[in-house]
Formats: sequence, structure tokens, C-alpha cells
Amino acid sequence: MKIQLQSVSKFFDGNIQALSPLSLEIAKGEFVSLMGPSGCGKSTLLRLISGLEKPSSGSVLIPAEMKSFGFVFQDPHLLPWRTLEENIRLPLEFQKISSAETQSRITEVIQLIGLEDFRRARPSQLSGGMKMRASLARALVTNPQILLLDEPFAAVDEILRDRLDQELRRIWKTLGITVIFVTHSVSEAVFVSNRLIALSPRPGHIVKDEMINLPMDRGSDLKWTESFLNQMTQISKTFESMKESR
Amino acid sequence: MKRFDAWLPLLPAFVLIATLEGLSQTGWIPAYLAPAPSEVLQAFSTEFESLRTAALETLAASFIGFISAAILGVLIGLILSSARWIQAAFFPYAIFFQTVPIIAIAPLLVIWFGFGMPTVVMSALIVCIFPVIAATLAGIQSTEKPLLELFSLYRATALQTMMSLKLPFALPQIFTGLRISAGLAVIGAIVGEFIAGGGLGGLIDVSRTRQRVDIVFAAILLASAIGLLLVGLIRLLRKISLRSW
Repeated sequence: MKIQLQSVSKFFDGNIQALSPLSLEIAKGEFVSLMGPSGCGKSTLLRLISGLEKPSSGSVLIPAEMKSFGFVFQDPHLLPWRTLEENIRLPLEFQKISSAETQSRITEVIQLIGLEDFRRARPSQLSGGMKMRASLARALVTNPQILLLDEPFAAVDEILRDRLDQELRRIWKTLGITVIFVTHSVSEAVFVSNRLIALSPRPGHIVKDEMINLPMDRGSDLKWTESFLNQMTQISKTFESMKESR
Repeated sequence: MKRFDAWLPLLPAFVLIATLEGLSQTGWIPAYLAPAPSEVLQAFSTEFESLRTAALETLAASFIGFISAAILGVLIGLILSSARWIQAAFFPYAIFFQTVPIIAIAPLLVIWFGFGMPTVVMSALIVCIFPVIAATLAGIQSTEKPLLELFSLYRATALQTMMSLKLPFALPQIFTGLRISAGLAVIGAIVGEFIAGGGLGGLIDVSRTRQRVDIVFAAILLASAIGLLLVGLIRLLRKISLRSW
């Protein structure tokens, strides 16, 4: 089972081309990072997969069994008038689910992100990292098959980002879902994902698509190992050469 | 220091009142131009009945006008925000409506609604509805776009999106609009009463022709007290409903 993009392109306002025809397959259960210079269309790609945007040409094929999405934005975007628990419940309010089921799912994801003690806190009472976790929990509460993250931890400090990345990997392994993760940090992409796809400047096309050869279990000490640094250097060089050819 | 700050506005009032009193008592300001503050105070007790009746009438009219404008204004704002073409087609009329001076419409209102309360209520409503419409519209349009996308991703209906997202998001701005409207409602009611009679507006008009400036001033003070009352009410409501923000 896989997500298939077949020569997908996207134009905005008639003539701005965000993506040049691009084909891509992502298998169920993969953890993929999408990288590229700003404006290269990586967010657009994410939105095309989620169905928030329609491709100008080509097609996005997703098997029905996989067609449920969780979406995490760069900012938490919680509703300020709701408690953490009520924020996480939000997506379930639009589905026909019994209240017992709703409650058990909320409890489950709150445990998953480790915010049991803050169920009734308002977003204004939470730290940046907690809000981001809440946003992640809201995305997970519907049991999505595909989790899409658009530069989710770009606004948090590096130490916290490391920790959130590790949590995300743990969640991915626990739930066995497909994760597509947009980032502009090479080290984050190498650290968090199993496969890295790099896009060129606009109109974006794939310039690099490779597996990350690192162990499944990744702690923060991984960042100081030779294999991690080698992979990072190699990928950084790809981006360097991309700049020169422009 | 903070406690002292709160009382500080009383100082200029005291200085102004004392100066006016002095100027009136010594004959610098003739009584037919402006009454001595003590005379205004006296008018409150001698004219108590007529002032009270008038103030209650104005209070009722501006309150009813304001509440109707609040409900109607939010509804119109919601309708205007529901589709781009509706807004494009109708919002200019809301602006046009706002620019027509109420004093010019008031005689028409008398023709349509007669002399009395309905005309005054309508006048208050017309004057104070626009800020509510504009604030509702602006508030709804300020809804964070990613959240709108999230709602569409989860297949929320238009009604669900309105009630769970747009309206709560717009609430702080709606309250700002309501606060402006509360003050305007009293102005609208007084203008209506000038033409239709009754209330503080009617009393001011009658007292003016009788050269009773003391009553005019007493009525003005009461009118502004009504305005403060309505604004205070909105502040209280805002505090209660935005407690969780």
C-alpha cells in the first residue's frame, strides 16, 4: 500500500508554478522528510497529499484504507478559549463517535504526548513545547493513517526540538503510521526520518531521494556519531551544489 | 500610588465645578448661558419627577435599540462574511447607511413609526448598528487560516465552522464594536427624541425653549450616565464571556 503522486504539478494564480511535474511513491509506514529551499513547494506538496489543494495536472492516488490525515502546522494553532483536552477533542466533534470512545482516545493521545497533568490548562498557560505537543495530539486523536507535519518545530529552541523529534519518532514506531515531515534543517531531517527527499528551488522537482542509514532507535547522542555527520555532510553538499548551479 | 491614580480624574472635575460656580456667583457668566453647578444640582431635586421619567424613557429606548442592533448587527455580519459575493454586493450599502446622517432620517422615522418610542428605538438602532456589523465582519475575517484548513480537513460543516471557530474567534472584536455602539445608541435615542419627543431629548428640547439651562445640563449629565451604564454593561459581559481566553 502506498501514496502515489503521478507527474503532479501545481500552478498558483494561473502562472506561478510551485511544482514542476513530479512523481513520487511513499509506502505505508515510511517516515519521510521533505527538504528544500524556501518557496520550493514542499508545503504545497504536503497540501496536495492531504487534499487541501488540488493538483493543476497529474494525480495524487491514496488507497482508501490510508486516506485519513493528521496535520500539524508550524505554529500550534490551538483554540485559545478551549482547554488542552477540549482542543484535542476538536477533530472528533465532527465525527460520529460515542462519548466513551472519544474519551478513551483523548486519554490515549494525552498519555502519548505526556501531558496528563495539563488536561484542563488553557493554551495561554502552556509553554511553547507543550502547545506543540497538544497540536500533535490533536492531529493524532482521529487515528490518522498519514501524519503530515509542515515545519512543525521550526519555532522552538534546538534542545526542545531534539526532544520533540525523538518523541515523534517514538510515536511513529508505536502507531506504525506514515509520516511526512517538512523541514528546512538538514540535521533534523537526517535525525528524525528514514528517507529524505530534497526539492529544487521553484518550480520544485526532486533532486535527491535517499534512505537514511541510521539505527531505528535514535537518541540525542546519535548526533555526534560519524555515520550521522557523514550523511549530513553529504546531503548538505547536494544543497551547496544546487545553489551554485542556479 | 495606584489608588491615588484612580481618584485623580476627580481633581480637574472639582476645579472646573468650583471655577464655574465662582464665575456664576460673581455674575461673570450670565445664568441664561450656563447655570451655576449648584443650580443644576438643585434642578435634580426640584425637577426630580420629570427628569426620572425622561431618563427611564431614554434608557429603555437606547437599551432596546442597542440590544436589537447587537443581535441584528452580528447576524448581518455573519451573513456578509458567509460568501465573498454577498459581502461585495451588500457591504457598500452598510457603509452608505452609516454615512447618512441620522438627523436627516429622523423626520422620516416619525412619518413611518409615529411620535413615540418606536421611532426613538429605530433611531438608536440605525445609529449604532454599523460598528457591530463592521466588527463582526473584521473579527470573522481574522480567523487564522490554518485553523480554517484544519476544519475543512476534518470535514466540519459550515455551521460547525461558524459556531466552533469563526464566531468565538471574532468575539473579542465584536465586543469592541459593541462598546462603541453602546455610546452611539444613547446619541441615536436623544436625536430621535428631539424629533419624536419624550425622554431626555424631548426634555432638553422643551427646557431649551423655556430657557431652563439648568434642566438641560441635568439632562445632559443623565444622558451621559446612561451611556456609561451601557458601556459598563458591555465591559462586564465581555469580562464574563472572554474569561477563558
